[in-house]
Amino acid sequence: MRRLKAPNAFIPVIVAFSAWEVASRVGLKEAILLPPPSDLLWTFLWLLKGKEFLWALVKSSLRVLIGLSLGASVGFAFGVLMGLKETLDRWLSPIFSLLYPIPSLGWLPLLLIWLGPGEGLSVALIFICSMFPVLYNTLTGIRGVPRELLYASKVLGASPLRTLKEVLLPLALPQILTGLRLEAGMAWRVLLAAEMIAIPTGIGALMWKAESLMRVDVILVCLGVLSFLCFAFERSFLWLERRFTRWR
Amino acid sequence: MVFSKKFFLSLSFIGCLILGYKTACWPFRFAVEYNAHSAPFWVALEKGWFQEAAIEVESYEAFLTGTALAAALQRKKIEVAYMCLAPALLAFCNANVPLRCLTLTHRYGYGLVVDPSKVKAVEDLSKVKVGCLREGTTVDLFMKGVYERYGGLQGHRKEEVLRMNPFLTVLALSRGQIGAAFLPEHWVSLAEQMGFKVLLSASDVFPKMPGSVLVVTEGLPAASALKLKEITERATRWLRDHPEEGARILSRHFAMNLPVDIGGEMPLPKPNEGVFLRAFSRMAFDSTLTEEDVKWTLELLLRYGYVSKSIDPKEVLWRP
Amino acid sequence: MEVRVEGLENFALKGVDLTVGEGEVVALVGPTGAGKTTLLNAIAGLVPYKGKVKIGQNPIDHLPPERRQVGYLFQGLALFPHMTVWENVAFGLKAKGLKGQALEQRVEEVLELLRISHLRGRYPKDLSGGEAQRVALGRTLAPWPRVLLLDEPFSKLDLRTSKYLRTEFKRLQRSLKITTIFVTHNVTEAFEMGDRVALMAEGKIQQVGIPEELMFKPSNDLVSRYFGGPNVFECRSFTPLDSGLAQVDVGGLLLLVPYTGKKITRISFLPWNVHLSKDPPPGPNVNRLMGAVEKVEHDPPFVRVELTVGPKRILVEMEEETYNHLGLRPKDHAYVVLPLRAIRTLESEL
Repeated sequence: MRRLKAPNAFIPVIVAFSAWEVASRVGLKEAILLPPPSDLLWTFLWLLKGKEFLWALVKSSLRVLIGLSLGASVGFAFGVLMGLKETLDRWLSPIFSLLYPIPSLGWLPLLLIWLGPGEGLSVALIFICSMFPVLYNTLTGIRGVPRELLYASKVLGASPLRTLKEVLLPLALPQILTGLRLEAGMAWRVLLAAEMIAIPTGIGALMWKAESLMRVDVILVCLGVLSFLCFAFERSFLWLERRFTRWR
Repeated sequence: MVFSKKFFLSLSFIGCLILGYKTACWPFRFAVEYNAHSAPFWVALEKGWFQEAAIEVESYEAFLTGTALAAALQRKKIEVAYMCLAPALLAFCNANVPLRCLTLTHRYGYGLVVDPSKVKAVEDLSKVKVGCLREGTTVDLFMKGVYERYGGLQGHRKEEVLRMNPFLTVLALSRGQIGAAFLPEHWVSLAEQMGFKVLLSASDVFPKMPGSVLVVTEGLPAASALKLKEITERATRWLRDHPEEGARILSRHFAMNLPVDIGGEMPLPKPNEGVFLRAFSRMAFDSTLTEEDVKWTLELLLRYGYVSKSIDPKEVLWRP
Repeated sequence: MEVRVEGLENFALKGVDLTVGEGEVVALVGPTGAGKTTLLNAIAGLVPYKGKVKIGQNPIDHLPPERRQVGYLFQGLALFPHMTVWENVAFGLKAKGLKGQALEQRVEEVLELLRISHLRGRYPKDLSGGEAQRVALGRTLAPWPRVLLLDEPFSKLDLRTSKYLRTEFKRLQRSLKITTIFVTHNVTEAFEMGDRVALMAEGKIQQVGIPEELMFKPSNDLVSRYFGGPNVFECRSFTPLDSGLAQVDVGGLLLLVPYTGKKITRISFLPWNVHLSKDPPPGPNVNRLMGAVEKVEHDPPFVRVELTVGPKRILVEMEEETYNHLGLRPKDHAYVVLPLRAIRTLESEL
């Protein structure tokens, strides 16, 4: 019996889009409420012509990058310190355990009052969203390094700093990068919600405006672009992961 | 027993009466905005004019914004609505909501309210955060008109305009989070009563600006639509002649239908008669809706990119 | 350099004294949990302890592990998975501050010595068991350690590779003359590799000595049992033969044993070096005896079988699986095979 090949990843997508195109054109769902993909392409090109869309993209992307960088850096620093110093871990772990379970968006009302609706708010939200997972992934990564490897490093004459730099951190890196990769998607979700509710600029705000104007086509184009952006972010981290963990 | 011709004729006549009554007494779901322009509805309800015209009000729902109301229209949850013209046209053009505008209820009535300690002139808006309703609302068009009139307000970034519903806008103004607010109708006078200053009215920027309309979904029986139009026009005329009583009716109904309540406490004062009376003084109750009015609003929506193409005003106006 | 351990005590060690001479290899054997690895860890400074450790004449108790200049080959090898072979070997040298030409030269030297130059660019995941072992050894030797500690270095390898590496290591150790403590659970390996063998049990060194001392003059029951006490026999007579062999009479049993020219007074063989078979074993008829099973003792995962062979009692130890395969019961008969190389002789001058 001939074995069926697994379909190329694009084929199901093409089939789905074609079905959508036909359904919209034929009128199974009102075209205005679910515009066909071909119309969305025109909407996308129209959006590109105007400054607002690109500016919204840039704004949102910068917010994610800045928030993620800050959150990851701080989370990483705490994770390393807590991984190396048990006393610090014992003091900070209970506090972080209380804060970590709070959904990132749950902080929005408080931050809105403290910081107001601006860049600070979006960056703060993404910071919170990414800091804790990176902290715990770093901690897990560091604790997961086999004790024998640390012994080997010491016995070979490496100072604690060299052991940290050349043994602990490189071995903890896969765990840290995996955490970052997963959090990148989360950061976008959190930002989107914040931009819809509280921040007047960015892709989320644009989508919210489109809802007010009942422009389903604009909303769908924004969703498509977001999907691509999240995918690009995730792939970038995956590339980083593979680049730095070739030894696995 | 022989059934005579007279018997059958009488039966038919009674049948027609019943049918006619049933058709005329089709229960309608109403939607109103939590705004002074819904006054004709409340007046008609209180005065029993719907009942008089055999119009059954099955239900009515108050929406905080016109766009929320437009969404409900689009989902076919209501048949009759009192809403601003701009969101009605957006729903028609962008979402193909099958609606028809029957009659106007008022012109202008919108205003720019400021914190006098922070804003003394319109040019000072560039120094503060400004609150406004969402894009596509009539208040938004008013705001854009103000910006155009006053040279784009150099230096005022988009981030400084916060889009909120009127309740939150007044709340933000009262807490000092914004320095100025573009508001509709009675919200202007509510803020005024709270100590803020009305710097500009819509009539200063757009003379003859159409405000709100009576809207019905396409397919509503013509007879019912005509009755609704007549009731609304009657209520509009009545309000012109009896503003004090109109204000009393509104304050009573608005107290019962508060859209926001946090833990049993209202963070803003309730709109009283004085608020509505003051709002009425800024509105011109008028029921003549023309193609020019629709065309004018459409041009603004087109200019600001809210609709991608214009339509023939006749398409959206109801004709018997 | 000589290594001296005096009165070492901690959670696992109960007062350990051991001296390893300069360039000497001491093989440390003992049951699981005896404290062998803990002793190595204490010498390396990886676990806290009370007592003294000296390298040469200098106490090193106050020094952290990175300054003790001890080479430690861990049981799991502990190769850095994220570094290539070259980088692994260079690690200790870089830690010492070696750079540039000097670093490269030394790394190449070590790679050549261990015959692993062709592996320099590979990661540990791409190495076979034997290759990984050599890389680990190279990394341990590269930074000129004063003392070498090996924790069961060949335990995870197949017989052939293990044998090959043991030979390699012996050659290296002889040429480098590096003081070594070598932990193994394989007594045969210990006898082969060690200049002296130390038995550790219950957190203490029970006896240190050459294999003959441990087998023929055990200091206590523990030592006697560990090195196969019951299988020590007095020689009534011996007859030298050609090819370095002699025939000995151990009181009714005639056996062929290795002969070095000296008078053989006693012979001994370890219980796990004796083979049993129900069917006639293949090969030449050398040291093949017939015995009757007297007693079977189960001590999982091992089984001890006591047999009567002629007038003598012989103790045989094997894995449970082997025993079950044989299916021997008391009063059963079985062939008893004593490999030549497994018999140790106690000699005196003629």
